[in-house]
Amino acid sequence: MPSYTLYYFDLDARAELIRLILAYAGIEYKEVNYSFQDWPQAKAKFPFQAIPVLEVDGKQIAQSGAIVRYLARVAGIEGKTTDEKAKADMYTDTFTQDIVEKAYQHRIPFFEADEEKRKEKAQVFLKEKLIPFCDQLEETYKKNGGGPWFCGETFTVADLAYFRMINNVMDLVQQIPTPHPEIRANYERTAKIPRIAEYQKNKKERPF
Amino acid sequence: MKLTYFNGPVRAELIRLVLVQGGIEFEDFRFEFNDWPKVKEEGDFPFKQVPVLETNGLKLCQSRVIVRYAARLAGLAGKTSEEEAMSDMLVVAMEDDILEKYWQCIFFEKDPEKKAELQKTFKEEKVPKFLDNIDKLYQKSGGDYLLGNSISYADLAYYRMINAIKSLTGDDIGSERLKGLYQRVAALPRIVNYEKTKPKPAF
Repeated sequence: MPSYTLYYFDLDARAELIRLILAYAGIEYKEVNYSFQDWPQAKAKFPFQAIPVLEVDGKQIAQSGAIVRYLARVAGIEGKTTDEKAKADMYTDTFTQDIVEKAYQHRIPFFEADEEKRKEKAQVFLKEKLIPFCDQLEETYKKNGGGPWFCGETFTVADLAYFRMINNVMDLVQQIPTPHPEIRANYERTAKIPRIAEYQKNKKERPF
Repeated sequence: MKLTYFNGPVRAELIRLVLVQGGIEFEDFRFEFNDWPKVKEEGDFPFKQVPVLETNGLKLCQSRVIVRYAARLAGLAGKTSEEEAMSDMLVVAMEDDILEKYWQCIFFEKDPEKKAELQKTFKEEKVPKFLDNIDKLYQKSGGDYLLGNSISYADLAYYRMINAIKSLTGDDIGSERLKGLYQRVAALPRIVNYEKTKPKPAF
């Protein structure tokens, strides 16, 4: 069993999906967190001076996307065929890039210091991005046969990525007027997976 | 197999290079800007974005996803999981740390003062630092290519990245070793042929 160390800040942000995959697969790992004060000195030891980085038996993998895909493979949830892998990849990237990354703009004080303005931006994000996105996703999900997973019969990292995405914008999701029963059911299904339920129960509450 | 995108490089060029180098037959469908609404409507694309790759009933969007899929088909994604992760990491880094920043300071930033500032920082700080990081990893790999002895889509991505940014930085950038890598990719027969015969981009 290789030894894994995850280096990141004490935040959900770009490490949370990585943590979910590790939890799903029951993989033991060490986590090293940097404070914002310690980070400038620590940067130099990483390939692109950025984190998260996953160290596997001493070999460093940078870029959260690359780490997610690598662990999905290790965990056996990248998809079974080349086509499934691509589909899982597509959903994971879309959930992460189109929603989670964009949500930082209204969630993180670094991007918007004024709390009132953040609340306004969140509402704009809800109306212009999140609602159309969920409407479209519900359609696509139905068109693909309604699951149970994003890749049909096969559970993949895409389902964990969706779970992470919803958790990231849960306060806004709860304000969506039209129900999206299919994708809601997918979320509940993932939430009930024993290792995921356990992880969420013990999870540290973080600002983002 | 059909790739749909604007008649330009931006988010489709690496896909094209990977398919070409892999010797994979595909229709390189390019449309003009004005036709985008019609193409979007008729295409029924997932998430309504391009590039889109259609093959055997599969419709894929997200340029990075398509690149990865194409690289696997082409046998250019490394031989082990670790090699695949390394090539993945390199390609994503080139996109995020350089290409996205390049497009930001060339196109997306509209304020002329901010634009000039971003371009300066890009040329003088971001690019040299990034190339230094790549060079270190390249040295560690101990071979002719970024992963070592076999070519991967990370090498094609490096070639593509230099081609994209050289209008701002010139192409005399990077270590001698990296310049050698660029030349090696540029000299690949399928790449030479692609560059010679590709349609002239609208932008």
